[in-house]
Amino acid sequence: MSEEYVSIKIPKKIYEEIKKRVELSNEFNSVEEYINFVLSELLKEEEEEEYELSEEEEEKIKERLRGLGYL
Amino acid sequence: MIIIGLDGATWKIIMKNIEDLKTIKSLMDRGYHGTIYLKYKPLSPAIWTSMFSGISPRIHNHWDFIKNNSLVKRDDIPVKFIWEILYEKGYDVYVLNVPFIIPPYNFRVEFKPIGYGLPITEKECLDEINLITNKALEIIEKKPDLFIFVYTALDRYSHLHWGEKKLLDFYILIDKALSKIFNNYDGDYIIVSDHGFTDLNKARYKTLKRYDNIKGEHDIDAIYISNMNLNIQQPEDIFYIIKRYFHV
Repeated sequence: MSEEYVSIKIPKKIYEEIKKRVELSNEFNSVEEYINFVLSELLKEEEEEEYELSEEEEEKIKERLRGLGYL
Repeated sequence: MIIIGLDGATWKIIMKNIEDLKTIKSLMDRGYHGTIYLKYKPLSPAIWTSMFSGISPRIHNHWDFIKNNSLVKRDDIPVKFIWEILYEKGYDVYVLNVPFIIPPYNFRVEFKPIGYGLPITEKECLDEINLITNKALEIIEKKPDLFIFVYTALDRYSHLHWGEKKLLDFYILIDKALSKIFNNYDGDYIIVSDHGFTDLNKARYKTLKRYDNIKGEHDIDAIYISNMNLNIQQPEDIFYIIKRYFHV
């Protein structure tokens, strides 16, 4: 697939707020770039399936690592 | 494109038994294959990380599953992976069971690995092949742009059964799993191992802390097979190959 774009509407207030941040930042050249970055970071976080292990689970993993000679 | 990782697969077993490994033989006959001679210690966490980030282990410095007595997490590793780059560009990417951390890493895939991704018993090792294959087939059906998945139990099996006929039997099961995959997929692919294997007595590196019942040890001879004519010198090259493939 290639990169296609769609237009969406956001409240002007938010736009102005972001614009201020873009002007203050050295990293972003436009509001669009800023929004793309924030949204893709957010989506990426949600897509990562890594979950918090409980202490008990972490112990079980270490036990297995010991059993396999890794520890 | 799909990337299939076979943790610890080596030509030392494959070439000697090629007539028993019909799928691998057919892929080799129709495509290209080679050896990746690692220039650093053959440790899985480091190599899988480098393969999919393009960063040398000396730079990312992620060598072990455990650091300061805690399991290393994805966010502890200061790299950006190829699937993150492609996903940000809008590509449909999936990652299943890549063991650069424990439990192995998934991206956009819900998956519970056997034994936290550290199968030990005979049954666990055998079950992992089916579990990964079935999940992989599910994802292949979605026709992803990029899908990376790894069979990890071959590494355990090679540690425990190097020099035994049982190890060949395990390779044959992997070969059958590959047959199922390629009966349902005819796009571009790379099959790759993170390191090779050798007899414990001949090993130039020691990668384990304890050696009870261990017969095989990691070696620097990783393998690759692909339908594409690729120049893979080090694991990091795979990152750049994928990047170029998708023009990112």
